[in-house]
Amino acid sequence: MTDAVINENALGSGVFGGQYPAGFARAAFDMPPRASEFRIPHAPVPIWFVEADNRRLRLARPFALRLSFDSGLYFAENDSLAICAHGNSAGAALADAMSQVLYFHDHYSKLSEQDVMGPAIEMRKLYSRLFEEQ
Amino acid sequence: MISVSNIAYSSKDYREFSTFKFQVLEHLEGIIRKYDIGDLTRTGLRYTNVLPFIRESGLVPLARYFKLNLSFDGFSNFELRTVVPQASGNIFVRIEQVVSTDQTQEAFVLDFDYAKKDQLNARNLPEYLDESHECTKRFFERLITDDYRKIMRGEIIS
Repeated sequence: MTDAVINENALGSGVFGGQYPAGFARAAFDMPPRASEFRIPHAPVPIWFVEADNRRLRLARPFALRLSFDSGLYFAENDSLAICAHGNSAGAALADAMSQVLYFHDHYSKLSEQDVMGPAIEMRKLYSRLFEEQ
Repeated sequence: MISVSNIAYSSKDYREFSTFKFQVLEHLEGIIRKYDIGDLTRTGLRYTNVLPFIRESGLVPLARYFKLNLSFDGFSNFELRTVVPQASGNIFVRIEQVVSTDQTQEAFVLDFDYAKKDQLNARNLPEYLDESHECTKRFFERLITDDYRKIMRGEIIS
């Protein structure tokens, strides 16, 4: 039996493997090869919670956020909720989207049925039921 | 795809198994007849799904998507590769993180490959496909959370 010698310098130099104790190699693992290409066609990302302005609210029903990159800006959009957020990074666009959702929620929550007309009627309904009861 | 010792059929627009099976057999049976293929070394059914996610408090939202019952509070990064023996084959399961080239979107790649080996014959391909599909479907159903199942059913504000 061969003693395993752990090379302390080698360990920790990689995040996920690539370094093994002396005398060892990665076990043969008869996996199919990784697909060479995954297309992520900017499919909408499901959002289950909204976190902004030191508030974190769980959604009663998730919404989809479409993320994209165009002309040096990152965008996060949802048509039903009338969200069109942007930022210099994907994280900034996401944070902007969450702030907009909270803003619209707070705005429509303050309005009564008599205060709204046209498309705002549906928006008020949608936003008033958006979050789980706190 | 056809090479000296391999035949593969792939579809990027998978809707339902019965349609996929019809298309596979339509293509492969003609080749099998033409080249009089009998014994096979390996058959496999691979199902790859890309599940977009956003991080929650900097962590990958593993528990929203997968029922893995891992006793940890959260992961910055996650990868799983495993092989589970079945009655007449093996199923390979891989969960891997990927990020889009424009860095806007992260996603889990959920990758199944059900493989059968030994004493296989081309005339039994329909049964092999059914068996592979049943096993893959069973694993998929067991792995996916109810939350994500709702998303797949379209219960989401879009």
